[in-house]
Amino acid sequence: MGMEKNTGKTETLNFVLRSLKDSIRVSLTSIGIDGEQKDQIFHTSKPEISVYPDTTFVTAEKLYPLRHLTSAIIDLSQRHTALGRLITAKAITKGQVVLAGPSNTMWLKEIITTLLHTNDICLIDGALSRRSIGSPSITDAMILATGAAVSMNLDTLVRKTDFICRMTQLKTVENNLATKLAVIEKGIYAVQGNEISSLPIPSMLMIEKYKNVLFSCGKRLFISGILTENLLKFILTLKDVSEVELIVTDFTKIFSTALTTDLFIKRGGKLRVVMPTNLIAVTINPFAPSGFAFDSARLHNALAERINVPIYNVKNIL
Amino acid sequence: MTFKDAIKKHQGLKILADKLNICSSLGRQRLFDTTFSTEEQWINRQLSLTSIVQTYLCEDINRKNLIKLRANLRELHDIGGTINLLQAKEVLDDVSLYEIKVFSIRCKKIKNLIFDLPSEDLTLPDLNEVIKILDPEGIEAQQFYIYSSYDFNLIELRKRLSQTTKENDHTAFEEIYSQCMEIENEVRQKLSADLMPYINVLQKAMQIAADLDIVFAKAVLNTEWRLTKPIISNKAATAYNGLSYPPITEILESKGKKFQPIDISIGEKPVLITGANMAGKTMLLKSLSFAQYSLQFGFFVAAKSASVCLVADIMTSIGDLQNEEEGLSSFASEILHINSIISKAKTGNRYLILIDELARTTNPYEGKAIVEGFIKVINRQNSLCVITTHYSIPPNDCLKLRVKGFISQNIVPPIAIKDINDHIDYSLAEDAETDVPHEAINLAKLLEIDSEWLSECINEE
Repeated sequence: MGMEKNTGKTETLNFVLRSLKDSIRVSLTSIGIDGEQKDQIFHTSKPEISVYPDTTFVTAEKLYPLRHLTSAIIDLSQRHTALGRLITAKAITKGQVVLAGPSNTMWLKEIITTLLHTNDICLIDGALSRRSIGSPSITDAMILATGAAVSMNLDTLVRKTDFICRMTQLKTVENNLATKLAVIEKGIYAVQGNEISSLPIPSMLMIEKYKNVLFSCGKRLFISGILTENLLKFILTLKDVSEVELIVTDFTKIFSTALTTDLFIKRGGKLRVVMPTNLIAVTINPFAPSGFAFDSARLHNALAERINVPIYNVKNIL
Repeated sequence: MTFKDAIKKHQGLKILADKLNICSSLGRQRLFDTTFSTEEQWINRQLSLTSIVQTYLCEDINRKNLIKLRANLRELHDIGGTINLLQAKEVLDDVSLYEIKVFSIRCKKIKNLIFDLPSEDLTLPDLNEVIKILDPEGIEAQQFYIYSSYDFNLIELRKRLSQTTKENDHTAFEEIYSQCMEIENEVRQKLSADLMPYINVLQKAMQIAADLDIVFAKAVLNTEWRLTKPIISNKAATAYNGLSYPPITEILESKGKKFQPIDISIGEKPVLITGANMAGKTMLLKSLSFAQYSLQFGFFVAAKSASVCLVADIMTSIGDLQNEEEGLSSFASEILHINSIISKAKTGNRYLILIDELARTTNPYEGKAIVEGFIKVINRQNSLCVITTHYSIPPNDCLKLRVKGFISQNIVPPIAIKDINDHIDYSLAEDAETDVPHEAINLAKLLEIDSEWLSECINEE
């Protein structure tokens, strides 16, 4: 997953593909492309993802002809995406492809399951706008690509990257509670010990109105949907923030800004997840499209001071 | 009227369509496009195909094969769009060629699975030649690309391509790649031309595969719903022995109860049915229309035996027709609807007309007159007609039948509403009387209505 465009997501993916090519059976797909990106793909897209013989890849019917390799079609979906049906193909020669995937996460899950019947691993090219695929309910592990495209200010770049990393590493709730919460899809709940009780709050948009309801059964809450900036800001207006514990399904549900979220944590508020995300590496691209560049070592060191997962500049280890 | 239109009109048909285990999108589409047929020959052919398959499925081995057959049918997709491209002499792309190849291989598998099915109508055409074109390596794998064996130049070019990497020598890579593309396109042109003579046979395969899917699903349904093959009557007469309504039979049986099948004959004279409330009159009308639709869409019927006369259409008035949007009362809506039925019946075609409690929303004096008038008019037409009523009508211009109703007059309340049908005999008996059965108050008593109200009712009666 890339933090921004041009943070080196494709290089990272190519690096992983290259590293795996002779050892295991690799499959590859992406998440759907939204309308805005669609035109762009047709006009400017060139195949950039390098696959090797026997790699299975999934892409959309309309992007399949853009490939620069010989590949055999092995499956064709009956459902359609904005770019046509999904084609599963096996590379015969090495070469480049343009990827597009299913338009929703349920479908993506099905495709992953199918791909894993005949492959050892399934890699997913994450789209900027589809953070949800980083959810541990879909993928086992995540690599985050960051770089100068995020900010030309080193502090800002480090702070933003560090925030995402910390959110992926939030503490999880107790196992038995996690089992219960994992199946809940809607609503806000109070958690008292092992007891979960639904709170009658119809919408998070007017949370001020439900001030009395929100903490009527204790200050440990499970928010099954998204954690909004609005809710956190509201909680920050209360006195005893340090007694509040908010539980979300996983880090992809946190939509509050870094500033507000950190303020909540700083004032003693606790943030927990039901499912942890396995962030296995951060890759850096010191170059911004504007031509601006950080010194790779300096960027690496600045991030390493804050982030406790391996950091690579994939261009350096080519 | 297509089957798709009909399921919107009849809830029972919708349940039938859901129950029917049709595996392919081709089969589903063909079923939905099936029209309500008045052609005896077409219907008889459908019935006999279903019989053949039903007998075929009596063999253990064939029944076991059904799972494999269904799995293959499920993967059989509509290649109509691709065939249209071929017809328009377009050059097919890899996706289209893949579709034709996979379709042909699946058809071959299905053909082999049911090679001993004794029906020419359900025998898929031989697609070996098509497979040969798209499978130069002869392994019948469900994959497709422009194989190197199509053009020996491809072997050499692809070899060179794998030795050149895009990163190392971009120009060389692009050049070899575009040479490859050119040859691949030539191959696609040739393949498309080679496939042209097989357009008809592919279309035929699509149609037969869809029919196979439908007929196998029908045969399985026949056993599950105990449907039987009716005889098509050439006279203006329909007769059912043990007519039932499977959607309800299924529900009752799941509760350990039974649906009481009905014997009924409908001839040139309208049939007037009277009987207590809850005596199953409306259900009988639904069963009649369900059986008629079933037959004329090529299905067996839900009866022990049946002789059915084909009709141009089924016209019903069952349920409240109140039309608030147009400001019409239920009475006005009903009368206008019945009027349109009369004008259609007067065209001379034979229809099946099913009317539930005609004019029940108006006063009993005029209501009775309206029913009698309707019976007289309909009696002069070709159509078969069944009307239910609570009015006392003399059996002059109609055949009058009465639901036998409560088995004993001395049932002791309380009885749960859901158990009332245990005490009702739903069978029909000819009724020479004008008067209708007086069972409404008895039923109200069983339903334990207010005692004061009940005694006043009894006094009034």
